[in-house]
Amino acid sequence: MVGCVFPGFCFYRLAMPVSRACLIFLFACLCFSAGAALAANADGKDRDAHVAAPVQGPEDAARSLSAAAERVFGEAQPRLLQIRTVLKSAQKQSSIGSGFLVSADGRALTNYHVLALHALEPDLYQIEYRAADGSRGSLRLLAIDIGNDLAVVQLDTPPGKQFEAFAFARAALEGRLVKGERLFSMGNPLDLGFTIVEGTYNGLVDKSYQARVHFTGALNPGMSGGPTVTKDNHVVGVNVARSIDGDLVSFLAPAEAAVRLLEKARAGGEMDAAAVRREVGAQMNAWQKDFFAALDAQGFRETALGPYRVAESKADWFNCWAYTNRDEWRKLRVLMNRSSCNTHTQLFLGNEIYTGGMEISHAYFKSIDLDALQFSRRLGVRHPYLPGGAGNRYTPFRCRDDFLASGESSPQRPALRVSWCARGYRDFPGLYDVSVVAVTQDHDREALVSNATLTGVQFGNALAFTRGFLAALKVRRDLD
Amino acid sequence: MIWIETLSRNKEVVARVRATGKMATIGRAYDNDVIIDDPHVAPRHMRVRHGEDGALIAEDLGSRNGIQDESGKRRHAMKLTGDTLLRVGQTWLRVRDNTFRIPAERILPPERRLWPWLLLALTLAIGVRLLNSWQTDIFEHSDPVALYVRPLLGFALLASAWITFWAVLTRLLAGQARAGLHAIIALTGFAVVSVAGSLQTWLSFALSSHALADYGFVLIWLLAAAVFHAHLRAIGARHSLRKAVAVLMLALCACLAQWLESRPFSSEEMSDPDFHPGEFYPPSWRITPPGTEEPFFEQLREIEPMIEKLRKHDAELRNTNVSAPPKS
Repeated sequence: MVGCVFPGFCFYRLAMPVSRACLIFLFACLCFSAGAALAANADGKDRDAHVAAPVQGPEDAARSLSAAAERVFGEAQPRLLQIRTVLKSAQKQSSIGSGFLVSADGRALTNYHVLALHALEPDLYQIEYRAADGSRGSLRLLAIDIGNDLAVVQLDTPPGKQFEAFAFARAALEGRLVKGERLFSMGNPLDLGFTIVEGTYNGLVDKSYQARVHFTGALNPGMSGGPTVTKDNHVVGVNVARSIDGDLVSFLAPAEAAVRLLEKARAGGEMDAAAVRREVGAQMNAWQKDFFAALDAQGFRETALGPYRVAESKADWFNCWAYTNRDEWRKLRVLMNRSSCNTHTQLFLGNEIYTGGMEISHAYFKSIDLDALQFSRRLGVRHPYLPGGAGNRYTPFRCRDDFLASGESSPQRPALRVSWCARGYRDFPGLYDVSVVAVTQDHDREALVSNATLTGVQFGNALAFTRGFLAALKVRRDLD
Repeated sequence: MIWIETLSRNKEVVARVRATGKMATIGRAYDNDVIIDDPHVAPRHMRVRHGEDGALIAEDLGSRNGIQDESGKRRHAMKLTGDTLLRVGQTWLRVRDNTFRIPAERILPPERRLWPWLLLALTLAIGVRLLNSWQTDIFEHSDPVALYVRPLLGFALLASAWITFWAVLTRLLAGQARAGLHAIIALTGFAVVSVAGSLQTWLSFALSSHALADYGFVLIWLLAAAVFHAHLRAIGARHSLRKAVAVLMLALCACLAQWLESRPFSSEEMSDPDFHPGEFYPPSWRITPPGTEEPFFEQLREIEPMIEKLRKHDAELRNTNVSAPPKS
């Protein structure tokens, strides 16, 4: 599915059930592409009538809300756009999203992921818009913000001076919006026509490295890049994603980020593919630099797994899950306790390129009735872990494997067997995906298998991280 | 008395004819002492007689194809020792008289009892096969029948087929099957090659040797070649060197094939073709102590320019592709 499904970052692992953590946090971008249409259930009639409205009776409340939505939509409709990415050779759409006009001279905001195909391959894809009045034309890309998944485009024919563009909600920019505030989200879901959806503001998402507005409302594929506004039609955020596990759990890029990007767009000109790649590379570099600084600033806490001690980040944007196989078999041969943490900071760069994520897992294995040789074989089965992704976006992996003596980077560190793999991004110089697996070598029938996978990092940062990661692995056998 | 022996192309005696006169004539016609059914032989082709010094002499009787010596040279007449080979038409002959000296009688070898060795080899092979199964018996869902019994039956079938093949071949070429000997060679060979394979992976772990992990298969193929050679020797001990060279060439071909297989030369591969992390063994089975961190990180640092080179190579490919964009 072109740029549409946004998995939480499940890596392929040998002989291991799909991580539960991965199943819980699945996001979907809201751009709509070929193939997703059939899954759509455009059942929008089932309006929630039980909305708290203390002064009025239920019927009045429904009427008044409905009237508000009608007014908001009526005002907004001329400024809404559907944005199509068209495969040039076939003259057919490859993905569909939404956008909205923010200036009379024809500037519009949308998501980066709506335009990603065109941004990276302008020779293959072009972008077009369709307005509510049926007018259509082509778009030029002016600015992108990878971290917030935003982009500014320019219409080829400005709508004219009498036209009134969307403004941003001051309350949202100043952080004064309160949870429960009624919001309206607009866009063109599943290519069914422009639509308005009511929902509520629920603040910024807790436990998220990236600032994301939690909007409780039914965002659907195709609404990516559409505006979410207050009842005064002031923009609070830009539709970005929804959780495919929960109901009505949707996410917006905050208005503040949109305003910043618009200012940036004013300064720059049109971006070609080379400029986009440069910009993506520069933004990713800046982004991961901040990320590692934030990681260091948050600090680490020591966690025990059997006799082993591992460091876990104190940052609350790590989602951590624990798993044991103790209850899975009647007669267990190897006990496994695993703790895995994931940042869910993946950024969408282009078709099948997700980056900026970090996943760390530590698994403690203890033989129950396996001999030392058999136990070592069982450890060998889980090796190595590598991130997936489309081959044409990355260079092949290059890997090294070695045994490291105990007590080197820290006195309690056991001897380790370390495998380290890295690959580069074909379009973005200086960015790498790195995976490191360390297996402790201090006991014949007990081991800790630790894995860290970083995507979209600088090589130096990856090496520094690896050093810290290895130094933090400790064993305290005297306590047993 | 003169003995005229007809030989096969492999110089084994096919027929032996005694001529009682002082001279023996050889040819296709029925008035000869020795008749040879070879269309390239003249009706009266040659004769053999004793010379003045008592040695045998072969003389051409005016045939068109003549007499050839071992090197293929045509001779009108040639002196024969008991070991001289000569060719008339397409037939090899050897001529001896009653004074030819033969080697002394060989002492009968003691009766060789094969079965204790066979039993030992069988035990060894089954033991190794079961040990291999045991090493993979590591999961909660392991099924003993699938892990132990089925591979053993498969092994029995394969071994029987292999031994039968060699026995039939030996029966054809050497007259007797020598199935017991082939069974000992095959079973011991399997055990040795299998143990050597495990030894190779263990040593590459115990010594942290990437070279052993990457190129140990050469040793395994050489061992397999030795087993093959042992089978060939069991057919017949002749040309042992020639057989050894042939078998060695086959082993080298196998090595080359495996090397090509393990190193895909396409840069499109997602995995690292040079990366073979090797097997896991218990830490206490190590021999050399583990390495230090700095050299390892030095190796990791070398990866960056490698990947950059790959990326640049791809970028060049992309540019050549883009120079002819599809028409819209």
